Amino acid sequence: MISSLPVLPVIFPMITAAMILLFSEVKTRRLIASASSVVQVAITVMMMLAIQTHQILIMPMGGWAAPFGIMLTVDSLSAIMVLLTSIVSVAVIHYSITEKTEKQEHPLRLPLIFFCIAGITLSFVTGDLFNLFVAFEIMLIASYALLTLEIDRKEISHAYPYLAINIIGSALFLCAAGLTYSLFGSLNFADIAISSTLIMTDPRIVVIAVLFTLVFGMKAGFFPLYYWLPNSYPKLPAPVGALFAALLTKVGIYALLRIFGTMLPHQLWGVYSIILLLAIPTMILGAVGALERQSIREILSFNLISHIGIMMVAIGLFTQESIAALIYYIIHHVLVIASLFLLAGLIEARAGSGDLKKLGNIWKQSPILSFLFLIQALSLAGIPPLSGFWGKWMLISEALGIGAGVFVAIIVITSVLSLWSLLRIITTGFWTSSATTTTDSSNHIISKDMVAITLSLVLLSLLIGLSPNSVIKTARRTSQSLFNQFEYTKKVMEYRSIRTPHYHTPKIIESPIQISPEPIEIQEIEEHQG
Amino acid sequence: MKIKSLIVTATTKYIVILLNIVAIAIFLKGHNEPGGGFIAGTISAVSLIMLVIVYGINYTKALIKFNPIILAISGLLIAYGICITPLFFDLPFMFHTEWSPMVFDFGVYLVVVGVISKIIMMIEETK
Amino acid sequence: MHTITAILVGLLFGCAIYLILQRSFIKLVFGFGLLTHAVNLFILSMSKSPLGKSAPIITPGNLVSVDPLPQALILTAIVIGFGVTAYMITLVYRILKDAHDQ
Repeated sequence: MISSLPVLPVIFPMITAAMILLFSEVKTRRLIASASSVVQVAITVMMMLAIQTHQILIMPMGGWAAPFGIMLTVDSLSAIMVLLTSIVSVAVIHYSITEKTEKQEHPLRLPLIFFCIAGITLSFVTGDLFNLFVAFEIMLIASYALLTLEIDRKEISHAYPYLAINIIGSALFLCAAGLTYSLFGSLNFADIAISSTLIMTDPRIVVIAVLFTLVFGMKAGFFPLYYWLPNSYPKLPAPVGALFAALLTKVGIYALLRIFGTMLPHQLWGVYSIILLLAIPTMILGAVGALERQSIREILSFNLISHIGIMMVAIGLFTQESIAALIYYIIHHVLVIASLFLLAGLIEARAGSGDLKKLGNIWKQSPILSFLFLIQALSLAGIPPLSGFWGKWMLISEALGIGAGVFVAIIVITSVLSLWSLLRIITTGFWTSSATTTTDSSNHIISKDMVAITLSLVLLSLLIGLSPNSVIKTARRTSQSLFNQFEYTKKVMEYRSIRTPHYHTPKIIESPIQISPEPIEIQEIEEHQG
Repeated sequence: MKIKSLIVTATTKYIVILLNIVAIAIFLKGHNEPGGGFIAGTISAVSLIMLVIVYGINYTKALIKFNPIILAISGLLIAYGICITPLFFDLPFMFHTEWSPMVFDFGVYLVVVGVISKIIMMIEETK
Repeated sequence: MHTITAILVGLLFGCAIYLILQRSFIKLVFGFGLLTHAVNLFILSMSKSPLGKSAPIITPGNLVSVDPLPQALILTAIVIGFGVTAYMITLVYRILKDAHDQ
């Protein structure tokens, strides 16, 4: 059972998606989706527990030996990310089920969400670049379809920049993979890690690292490449938007961590400083953009970008403590941004619009929603007892320790601007008694289930904030294991000794045609034919 | 779109049958030589496209009688099923014996036929 | 051979980027198609045996074998590119149709 754990969270959503498509009755589809997402959480919790004892779980696909076969490799970081994915997906799927009546539901939304989750999970558990590419593509193609599935006809052209930048990103990813293969002769992370110790100072490694930074920076929303993000995410339906905002950008961050932490040597200071330099405009412009926008989810999207900037600082510093801070910050951010997007969806459903100018009096109409939004907004900005504070605190103290005071100042400024933009939603949207708000909310009824689902996400993030010790400990241990490249490669290369294939020897087939290295024979054959 | 030429309408039936025989042959050729489920599926789908072009969408639908999406999904489930079966015997995922890649390829075949015929039907219907 | 491939890859990339930067949607679609081909050719030129490692083809008689990994990578990229191009054509068609309707 434990040996098959790495593949289960990938194949399970895929089977679920196919099963959902097979049934046409909406009730059955919803039952399957709901049950499957709960089982997925159980699987990932089991994986997390198995990681505590086994450190690294490996599944050799088809029983092929290590550097050649596909190895699904789950270490502590992957397990955390997969667990977060399943938690967010269970909330998103249940929200999506309760959001619409059975007639309104688009028949393709649930299967596409499951395919998207399968892609995200595969990109977390994969142990080589090839499958990372495949996982990105599964995720992206599902996300293209989700992006245009229920979008307004007038807004469909907003999907275009997202599509264009991701196609270019995929092309560059393939180039980077090709260069990696030509340099190291392998696409397996562990195998590359071994080879890269032999040619540590080769300048071509820097080229590969820069290309990967570019590719995953596009996915995560780094400074010059974030244009597509705030223009496409707010247009999505609330649960899909929450899924995308919480996880798709984090996949980019995770992939960067995997590339720099596991695959490449740890002394690429030039590349790290590029990431640090790009982090400054990402943080500032994200925060300033949030001040300028006028609808809740656009403000949240820009805040997402500025927090990606903070994560970039953590990657750029590249010390064990800063990566631990990053891991804590990712855990916090996934939960908080998902719950904020869901809350924004609820408020929009209640008020009929997400535009700050049209909103008003939300505080009186739905005090619970407003209070939850306030808590999560404060948490996102990093106010002390809440979860956002601890990650920033770890990062700031680490940055001060190694003398990067500039970044501390910018992180603090970003947090203040972020708080300002989020409080602007509260003050102008929730507290003012706007006359334009339609008080006739009879057709904007939101069910209690949706609030309960969002509330559980909020409670989870509160739990992380109020008792951060165990999570910080896990983050530190994960960071430690990420920096221990040797352990990872050793565990993967244990599978080198197995014979190919694993459990039965193939019949060696005598090839009937002898292929000669010289091309003369082909000419002779042609002459014969002529 | 419907082609009215007598030669085309008369020969298409035989060509469709021939194409499907070729598809089966290529499907059975297996893995050591060029062939397999994907190519066979594409060839079968081409035969369906020929039917649609020559006899029209309604005739084709009446002839083949299956829902292409159901076909594609059952193919997907067959492929998944053969991949996860080894897990129950404590073998690695996608572990193969002499015959199991054939079952996987059959799943791929169904997926390709289903998806391509669904695409072509949708294009024809929106015209 | 490598020089010619390098020039060709550069040419394809150049044409693709030129087409992508045009203001016509049809040219954009062709630009992205060319981009995929440029990348595929680039990966193909990467197939050799780097660091002395070679592909694990163990059947006797196969004295000279082609490196299978770049081919697998290209095949995957082609299939994915096919799907994405189909999606993009549909999207562009919808955008153009909506613009035409208004």
